[in-house]
Amino acid sequence: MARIGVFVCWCGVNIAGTVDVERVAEEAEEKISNVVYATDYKYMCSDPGQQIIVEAIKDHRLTGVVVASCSPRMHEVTFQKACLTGGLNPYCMEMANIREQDSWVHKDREEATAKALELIRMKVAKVSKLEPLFPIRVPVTKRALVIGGGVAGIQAALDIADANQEVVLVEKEPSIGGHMAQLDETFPTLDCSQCILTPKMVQVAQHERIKLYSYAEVESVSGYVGNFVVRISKNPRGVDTEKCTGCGVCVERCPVKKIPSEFNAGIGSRSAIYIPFPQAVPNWPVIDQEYCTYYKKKKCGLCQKECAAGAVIFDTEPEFIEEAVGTIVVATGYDPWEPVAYGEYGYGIYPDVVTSLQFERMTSASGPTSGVLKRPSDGEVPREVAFIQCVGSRDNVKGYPYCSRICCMYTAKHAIIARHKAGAQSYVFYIDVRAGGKGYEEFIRRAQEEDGARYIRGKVSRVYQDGKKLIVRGEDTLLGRPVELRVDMVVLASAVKAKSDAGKLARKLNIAYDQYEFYTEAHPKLRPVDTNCAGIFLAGTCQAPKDIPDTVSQASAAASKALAILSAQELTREPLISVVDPLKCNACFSCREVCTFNAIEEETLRSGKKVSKVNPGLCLGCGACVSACRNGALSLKGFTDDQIYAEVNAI
Amino acid sequence: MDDIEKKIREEARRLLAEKKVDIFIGYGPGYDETHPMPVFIEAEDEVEKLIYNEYCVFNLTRYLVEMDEGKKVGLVVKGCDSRSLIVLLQENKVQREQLVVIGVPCEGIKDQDSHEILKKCRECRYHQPVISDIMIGVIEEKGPEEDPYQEVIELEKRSAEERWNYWSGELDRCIRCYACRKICPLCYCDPCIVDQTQPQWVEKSIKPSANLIFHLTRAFHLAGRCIDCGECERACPMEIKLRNLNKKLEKECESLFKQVAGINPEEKPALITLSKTDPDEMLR
Repeated sequence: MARIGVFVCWCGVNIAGTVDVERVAEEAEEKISNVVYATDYKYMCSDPGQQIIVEAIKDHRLTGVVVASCSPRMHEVTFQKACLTGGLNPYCMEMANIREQDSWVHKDREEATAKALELIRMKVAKVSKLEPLFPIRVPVTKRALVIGGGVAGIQAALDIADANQEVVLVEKEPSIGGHMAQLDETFPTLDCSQCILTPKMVQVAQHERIKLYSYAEVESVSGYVGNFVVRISKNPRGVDTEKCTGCGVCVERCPVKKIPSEFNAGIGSRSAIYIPFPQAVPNWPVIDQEYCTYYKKKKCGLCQKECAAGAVIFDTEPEFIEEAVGTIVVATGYDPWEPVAYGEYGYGIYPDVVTSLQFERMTSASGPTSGVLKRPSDGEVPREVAFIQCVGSRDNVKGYPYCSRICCMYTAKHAIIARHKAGAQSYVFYIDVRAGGKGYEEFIRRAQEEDGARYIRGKVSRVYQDGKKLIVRGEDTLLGRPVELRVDMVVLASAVKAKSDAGKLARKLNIAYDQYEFYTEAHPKLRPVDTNCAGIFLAGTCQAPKDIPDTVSQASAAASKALAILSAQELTREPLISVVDPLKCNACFSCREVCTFNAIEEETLRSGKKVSKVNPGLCLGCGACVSACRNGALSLKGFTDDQIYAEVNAI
Repeated sequence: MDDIEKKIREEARRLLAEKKVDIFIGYGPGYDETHPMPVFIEAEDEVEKLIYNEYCVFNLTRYLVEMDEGKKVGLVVKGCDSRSLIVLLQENKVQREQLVVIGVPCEGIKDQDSHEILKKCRECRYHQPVISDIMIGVIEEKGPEEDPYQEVIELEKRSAEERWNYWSGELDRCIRCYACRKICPLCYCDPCIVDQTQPQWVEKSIKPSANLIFHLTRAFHLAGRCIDCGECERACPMEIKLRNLNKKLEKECESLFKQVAGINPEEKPALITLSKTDPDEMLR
């Protein structure tokens, strides 16, 4: 016979203001069958409140507990722990939500009190049917996967590896480094970006606990927290990395040289066999099969002939590798948005209208002009440069409604660099200047006051050419009058957008993403690096646009989350999972079809009958299989048909 | 017709002789020519029992779920029967390797009393079997003679009260003999939800509320699966218009998911597919 205790919380006046809590407790004990003890207290979640539950479990030999208080989202764990302390299985406790579902939404005291009693009655009926459940223990594979080798991935990989755990780092491009490697200087300190990044890149390459797969992609992910199996495809590089010495002779000799360089954001060129940039890690070349004459026509092969190490192999098939990992950090970064929707700015029409990433390459010492700012059309040093902010950001019509967060700061940096490197006068068209960060506002002031950048609040309506000059027409909304500038170059601060294949990867990982395909954190404030999938964490701009300091902070945060998993001997999982009744199962396997976690397996009974079976390590207890099963062979522990039926029938 | 009958016998004889099948399911003589019965042939010398005529209405795929695993089965299917076979394949109730399917093109089955072509056949869109190993003849697909959803559309036009009265009138007659369940090729659950007691979802007694729950549950369990062979309605001794119930859900499934059940064995049935283009916003 069930012996149930009911604990009614006042929640200060939150509940007690509308519900007669004392009467509820009295009537629960008197009128609801199986209730052997009921009481009320001002704050059940407080230490003394919990102690009441602990004592009552012992004194009244309770077999089940109903806490009538707030939502289980708030305090389910609190009361489960109290039950455990009292010696009761924590899964024999239910919460009747008499706050959100009662006192907060009703005014009439009489009715709210009656409803509280009904809610308790339902939970008592359910608790009478609850069975003790025990956490599922799963082993942990002590290795982390980091997807993406930009600054976020590099930081996360180093942090995890430095904490004595193994890391597998997968980078899609031939070299790690990401967008940060493309930058010239960084705000607000004007450090040389490559100078601070390349030591970290080298550390990754040299780290004994980091296994780096560059020019490789995650093909599929199976398994669950603590026990993921990742299939990685290594793209055919054309070069045997075991033999290659990185001497670069092949790159020099390659006759196909006019390919737009991705690293230089399209403004420089590269050969068909290439090393993306001098400090690339790893420093092996890669052959671009789309342009290489050998791949296209089976002719040339010059690189192969010239390679003293015999490392050029012209392979075509990807190689597949499986890695077992316990946790995953996703750090896939962003794509710069192509501002083609802004025809009026003349991008793609006038060579001197460039994006900010192109400008970055034009001023970088490793760029095509070796750091001398020259305009693309005629190679002249620009005297006046116009910067247009929010190109594609904060624009729900042509671009994205969100703020890309980094543009205000890097544009101020560009204005400063333009003055320092070319003595140029800068004009910045802006909507607002968003400089919330340590030293950021001061940096903007420095651009304006020390380096003479002229800030014009307003949008540009048109950019067109007049001889060698570009005419920028816009409006100064502070003065309320039109502006027309004659400049040598126009730089567009184009938006930060999610990677074009972000959604595809998210579906492989089973993680959520928003309408822009940025990955969604589990809670915007309290769980900013977790995903909805246990054991998978986010770092950097794959989650939202952010600058380098924020990216690196988030990467370290993700690393510490990953380390929490890797440092555990074993993981425990909620036992609220599906279970199959083999006697009822008709083996139609609709459950397997609807399961997004691949948790349904096939089992052959001794009688020879095939039935489905739930893998407790994979099941997350979503219940999709339960509703797909026509004759109710599947049930969700803690929410069985019998328990729900009892709850419904108690009304 | 005689030609089809002859060929079915030939194929059955050959399949049994070559040990390609252990059992052959076809139509045999009933008490008169308008009442053929299913027959199960296990020896070559029994194939003369096989007949085929325009009264062969039974959906023989009904017997597949009761076959022992691994038993090789030959069977005769018409267009509609071939579709329930596909659903059974999709639901792993039968393995394709264990089957030899004899497809018969069907111009419509006649009513045993009126000798008219059955209504379900006049509304049929799949006269040619959609799956078979051996086809006996071909038939040009001319599309349905009558709109398959006409009666459902008429019902939809009625007010909620009128529909309630209509369905109460139909379902109140149910005597819970479960003939509809027994004859349905896709009602194979064991134990059926109706026979379960803890909890007891459906009351066993014959009363309007329990009848309603039984038939609605059955209709929902057939949603996206029913291929409109009409056997439930034919088997019903109380002449309840069960097809209208299933056709309504068939129509919904077709308009929402652009899917007709039992056409493609490789296709994943709509109701167990999670799609980014799902018409229900919650599921996207």
